[in-house]
Amino acid sequence: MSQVSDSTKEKIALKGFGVPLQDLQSNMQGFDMFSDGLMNPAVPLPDGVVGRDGHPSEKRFGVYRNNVMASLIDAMAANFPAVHDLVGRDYFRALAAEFVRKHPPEQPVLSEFGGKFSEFIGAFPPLADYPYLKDVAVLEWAWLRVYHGPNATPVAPDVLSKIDPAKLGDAMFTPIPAHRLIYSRFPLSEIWKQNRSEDVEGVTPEADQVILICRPDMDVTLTGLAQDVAAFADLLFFGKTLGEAAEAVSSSYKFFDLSQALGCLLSARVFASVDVKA
Amino acid sequence: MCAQRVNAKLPARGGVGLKADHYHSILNDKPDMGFFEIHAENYMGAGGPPHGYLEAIRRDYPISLHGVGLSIGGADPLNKEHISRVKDVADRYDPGLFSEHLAWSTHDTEYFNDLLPLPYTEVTLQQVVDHIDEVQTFLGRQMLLENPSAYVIFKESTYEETEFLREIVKRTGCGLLLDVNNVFVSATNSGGSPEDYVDRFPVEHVQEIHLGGHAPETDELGYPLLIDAHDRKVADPVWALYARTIDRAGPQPTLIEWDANIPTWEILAYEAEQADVVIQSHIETQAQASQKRGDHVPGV
Repeated sequence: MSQVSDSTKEKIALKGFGVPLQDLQSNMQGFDMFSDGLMNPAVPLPDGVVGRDGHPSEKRFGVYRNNVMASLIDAMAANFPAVHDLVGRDYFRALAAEFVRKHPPEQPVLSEFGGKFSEFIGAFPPLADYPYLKDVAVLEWAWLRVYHGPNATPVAPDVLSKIDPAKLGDAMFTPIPAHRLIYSRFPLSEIWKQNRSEDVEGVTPEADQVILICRPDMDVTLTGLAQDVAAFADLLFFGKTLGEAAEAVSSSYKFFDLSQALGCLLSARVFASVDVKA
Repeated sequence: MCAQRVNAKLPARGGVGLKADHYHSILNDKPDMGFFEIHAENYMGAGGPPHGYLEAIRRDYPISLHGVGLSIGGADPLNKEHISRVKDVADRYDPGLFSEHLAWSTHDTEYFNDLLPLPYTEVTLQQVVDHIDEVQTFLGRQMLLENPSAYVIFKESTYEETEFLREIVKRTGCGLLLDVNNVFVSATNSGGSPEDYVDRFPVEHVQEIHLGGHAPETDELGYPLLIDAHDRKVADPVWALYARTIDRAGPQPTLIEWDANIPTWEILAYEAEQADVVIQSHIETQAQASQKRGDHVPGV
């Protein structure tokens, strides 16, 4: 960059977008000023951006402010409908506005916006008395990732009947990519049923604490898992053989029922393939 | 898979923006509709129902691909990952047209999810031209650039918008998408004449038209302030401006944009039919005029 005096720089900054030709390297100031005011109403209106009388107009610039905040809050409401319903519309919009200001999206795909919302809720002092809300947000985010995740065809629930029983212990299970395991201290399945009007399969009082979300075809399904079944699934997802996983889980859970656990996971259709290690 | 699809080319007819609310109506009833337009950003997931529905709809209808997130008008370098995701959608669905906006939506690392305005100067012209070159090169296809709706005026603009667009086309070889509602909104908001704008517009480069509803408000001085809300029917004066546009630009694929307070399928489809009526009436008028002149009219 050639020599630009400080007073010239100041003029450039004051003029907003009015950048002289020789300063091609950066007309950033105008965009900086415009951007700064979008999420923060306390920032003065950008210079040189005016209404019909030639003066800055709160109302006109306010259209952009409103579009930005309202559309991003709408996107959050679309991504977290159960959190929205649990706290109520007005509270949600205020909460989402706080979130948007603190963690604005960094890319344009809004179904991928809000990954930090559960953390934000968990650290939001006014919601300290509602600790389950964080877990609901975790579950909704996982649901969204599974909904938009890659398609894959699951194996048929009777797949094991085609494997030599002597080699079953060496079988390895590859999950479909569109799946998540969510752990919670709270009865998420009940909250889900009430706020998303969708059933959760296989729920027992204990099983409320781990939910398997997966999408074996077009519909996302939720299955409550007992702790031992969840531990078993986790090990299989991690690449352990059936024998290794069963042994590890049996040592921690003395009532672990291998065939029931396998039946549960196979009927959830969370596996894309079962292979016997050579 | 692709062999089962209808041709990608968009007809010079009315079409509508594809909404999840209407997936089932469209697939069940196979309505007579010129085309569907999709927002690229809504189909960037790896899989799942959105792709399932769109794949099925694409078999029976051509689509146009409309991006809202490239930030062509911004000062920052384009987001390479995002261009690549746009290309993935284009490769997946073989759209007849791809369009983006003369606007910006990203600055530094923040994405604002709005089509923000820019001043029209030599500096911004070069930025837009560079960005369009980059997009067209990466996608390996021509893009259309859409005129924005504006609520503010930039004191430092040195180009009229129509001249700015004409220059962009000259330097990049891109085409244009003329949003007639945006013309009406911007001209009204700045105190200009929408008719003059259409008359000055480089219509020879137009390949698609957008129509949508706007919300009437006023600014603090009492001047009209129209908001490009896409939440209602197309206003009567915008239909009149559309007829004027078609008379200049000839019949074009014409999209009805209705993105908020989304109506029933029937109401939306009716709006698209109104575009067909205007196009038909233009074609008939042209035919009568050339008959009077004694021209040979093909097929008559």
